[in-house]
Amino acid sequence: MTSSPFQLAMQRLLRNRVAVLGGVLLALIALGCVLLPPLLELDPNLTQPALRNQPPSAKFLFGTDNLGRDLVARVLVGGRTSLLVGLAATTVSVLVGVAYGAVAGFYGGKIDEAMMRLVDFMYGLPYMFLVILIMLMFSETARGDMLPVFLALGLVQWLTMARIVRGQVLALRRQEFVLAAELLGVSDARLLIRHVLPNVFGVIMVYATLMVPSVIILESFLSFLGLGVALSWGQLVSDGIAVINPVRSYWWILFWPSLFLGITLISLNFLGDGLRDVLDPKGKT
Amino acid sequence: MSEIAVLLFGIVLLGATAWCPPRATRVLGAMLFALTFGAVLRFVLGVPTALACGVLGGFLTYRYFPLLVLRRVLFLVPALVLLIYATTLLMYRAPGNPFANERATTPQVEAALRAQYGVPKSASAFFGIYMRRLLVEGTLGPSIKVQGRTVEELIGPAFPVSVALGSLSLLISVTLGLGLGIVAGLRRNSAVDHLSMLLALLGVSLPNFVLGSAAMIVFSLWFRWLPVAGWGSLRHVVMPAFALALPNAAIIARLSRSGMIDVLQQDYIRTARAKGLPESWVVIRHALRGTLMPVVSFLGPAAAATMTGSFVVEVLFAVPGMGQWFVKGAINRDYSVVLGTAVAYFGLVILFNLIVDLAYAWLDPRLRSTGAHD
Amino acid sequence: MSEELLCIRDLSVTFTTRERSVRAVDKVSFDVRPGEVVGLVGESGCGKSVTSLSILGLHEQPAGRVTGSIRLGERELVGASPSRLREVRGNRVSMIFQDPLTSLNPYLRVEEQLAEVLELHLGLRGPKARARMLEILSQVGIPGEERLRAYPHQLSGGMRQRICIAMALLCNPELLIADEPTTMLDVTIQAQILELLRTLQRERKMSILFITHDLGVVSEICDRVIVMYAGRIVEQARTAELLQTPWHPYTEALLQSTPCVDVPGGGSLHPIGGLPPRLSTEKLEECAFVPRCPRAREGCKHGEPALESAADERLRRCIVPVAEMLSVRP
Repeated sequence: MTSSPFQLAMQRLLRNRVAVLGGVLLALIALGCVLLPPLLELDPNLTQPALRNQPPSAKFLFGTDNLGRDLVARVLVGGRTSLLVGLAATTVSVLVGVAYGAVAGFYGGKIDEAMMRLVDFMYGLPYMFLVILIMLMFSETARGDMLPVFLALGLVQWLTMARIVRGQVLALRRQEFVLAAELLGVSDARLLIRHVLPNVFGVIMVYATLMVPSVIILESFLSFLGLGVALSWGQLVSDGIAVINPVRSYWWILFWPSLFLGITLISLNFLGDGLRDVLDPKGKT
Repeated sequence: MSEIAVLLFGIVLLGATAWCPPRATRVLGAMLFALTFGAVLRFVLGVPTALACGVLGGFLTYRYFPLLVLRRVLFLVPALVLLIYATTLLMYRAPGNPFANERATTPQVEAALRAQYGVPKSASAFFGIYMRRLLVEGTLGPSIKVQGRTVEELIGPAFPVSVALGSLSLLISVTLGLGLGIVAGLRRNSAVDHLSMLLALLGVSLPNFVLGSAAMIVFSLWFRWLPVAGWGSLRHVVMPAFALALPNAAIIARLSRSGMIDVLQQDYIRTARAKGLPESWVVIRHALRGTLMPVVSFLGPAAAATMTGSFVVEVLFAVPGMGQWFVKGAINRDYSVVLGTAVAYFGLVILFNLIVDLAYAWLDPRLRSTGAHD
Repeated sequence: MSEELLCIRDLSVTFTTRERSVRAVDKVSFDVRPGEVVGLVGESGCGKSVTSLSILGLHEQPAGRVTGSIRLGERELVGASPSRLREVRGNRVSMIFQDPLTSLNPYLRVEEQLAEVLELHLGLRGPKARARMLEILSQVGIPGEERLRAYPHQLSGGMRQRICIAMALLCNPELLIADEPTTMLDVTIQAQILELLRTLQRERKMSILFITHDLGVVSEICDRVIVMYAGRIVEQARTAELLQTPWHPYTEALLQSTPCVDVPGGGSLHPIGGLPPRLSTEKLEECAFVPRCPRAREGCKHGEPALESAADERLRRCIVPVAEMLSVRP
């Protein structure tokens, strides 16, 4: 009974305890953010001015903020936004990046050179610039509409994916099984989609996992600057920073969202590194 | 719609510079360099001096710069122009305009204001006016919201602040990252290695403002060693620079570690050892160059990441840099200010990319080919 | 009997990974005399390169465990301190490798790479160093100053290998270890390099340990040949004798598998069937070559044969009688 290369890879992954730890933590946090608020009937927006700035206690495990809101609720619900944004924006990156990179790698030659020049150039751009402008473009039309956020953030990260996919496709293109299919008269599109891309899948997974943290960080930047659209960890950290003062330390307001943010990002990195060790050990892409 | 077409056409044209033959690349590249060089110097020196410097610069570039770099110039200068155009388009697409918020804006008043500030209704027209003002008159235009000031006057003082913060932080990133990464690569699988990579992981996993605020709490509020925020002395620079530097340092540490490990497995390292060289010679004279290559390639994106991060760090530590002007300008729809900061940021990026390219060519002799060999 | 220059006794090298241990070299013993060219021959993976790297302690990290003795004159090299080894490297014993392009540092000019050796071992700098460099370059057939300022990628393959040879000879070593130096070059250049090595060897009375898988090269340059298989020596003899009358089935098979140009009608190739064995640390139950040996018999499966002296300067590790080897075809 033989396992597919993919199954073998997954088996190796499971032996990497750090990566498994990352995966488990991630799953716990994600489930917590999604399931706990409705289960425990938590309300992130319920202001109780009488209970402002309470340190952590039995009733409020994470304490309350300056408007008396329960921080447990806020952290969990905020987590939904951060994770969702991470996932959605990465999906956009993957779609755009894979399409672009696959075309460049598939056709090679001058087309590839030109396309990659563009990518190389865009690597050097300060993206916040354009992201902020795009966010402003949509700010008055539909407040609370997340789509522009996903798009804007997704358009920042696609470069890495494009480069990687292009490298893989370029290499695979010359392999015999592709040339054989080509000789049989398979069309370009079919060649790409059915023969080449499935072999790139693993690498795509690796780098997609590693991209999510960057996107979440970017989103937190936007929230920090006041451009966020919904409650997210970035916003909570911003709130926490706003109340820093030398007299009284409301450390819990900053601490809990930072902790969740940090653990999520580290877990994603552990998982991504583990996936990379298993699927693309040389990292030569 | 046609504006988007122009943008796309511009992008295609950019890509097409890949097809430019060597001679033409050299000539055009040098010319564009001269133009840009002169235009920038124009802000600092007078017209005739700037012109002379531009021509001299162009000539020297033509003779001595590697072809690879001139190719980049040929690409980057039009790219800069295109970026400014794209920014203009984006701004114009945002809802609202600079004059809509004024009281008593009848169409006639608006038209008059538009004429006065040189802000027509069409993005392309504005672009044309803006570029002419920039190249011919040597000014970034009047600010629409801040009465009686030109954009240069507004962002002028902020520019060196941002540059100082950014450069210092990049310096810290490279020094810290290289130091940590090289040691980790040399002592693979040792305690130092594992510790370094753990630190690197943390640096990459936390946003810079989280690290920055933690530092703020620890160093300013608890220990009172450093000022909480602001600008003006060396002690003010420390925390913002480090906060900005750490994520990049972490990535550089990883890159240089894997670079070192790769290089140490190369045949020429074995040859060096076979010659009887002491390990220090092997590392410094032979292994280091190869290790630096991936790090140098990363410097371009590192600069971009530093700029991106600077927005947040400047806000957090109340540093009077360009970031605040950009955000204010964007919110107020002050087109000239936004474009001014755009030109500054993109200009820095491009300059930095060119320097990195030169460094790359200097490091790897296989990439060099000066005019004599073309 | 002349003093041996290099004396290897019971050299064993074991590499241990998480999964298993591999004994790449198993109790190998041989000598190299001054002024002698000894060939070390075998398939890929037979342990010849590992043996040669052990002499100067050049194994890749993580290094294998080396036991046994390698004496250079009166100096023991196994277990020697790094600083002692460094004194020997590039100085009394030099090494050149298979791929001249990757063996030279692409980022440094030729003169920089040569100068290092002179500065380190001979204390030469400046004009004196330069003079020595030019002298050695003309000896390897690359006259002229321009080559000194060149980078490796600007030179042809043959030139690069000459530079590597020059670099190895800068300090007049007593022994040159050449690990497949001509394998990556094309045939005409190969001949030139071999000719160069022969000339230099004669002039300097230098010993060469020449590692190769190519018996043709061996016939060109080696005085004596050692044949290795599965980490062990299976035969040792003077070149002419070995090539004309091999006394081990493996050597015989190697000779037969070499394609001949002058066979009428081309002829067919006779590769040695099967694959080389996996080298574990366990003691062998039978002769290592049994699975692929055309002369294998019952007695071969009863333990590994010992390496025995069969005649003057000949050693063999086989129980098949010599007479049979000479008379009966396999």
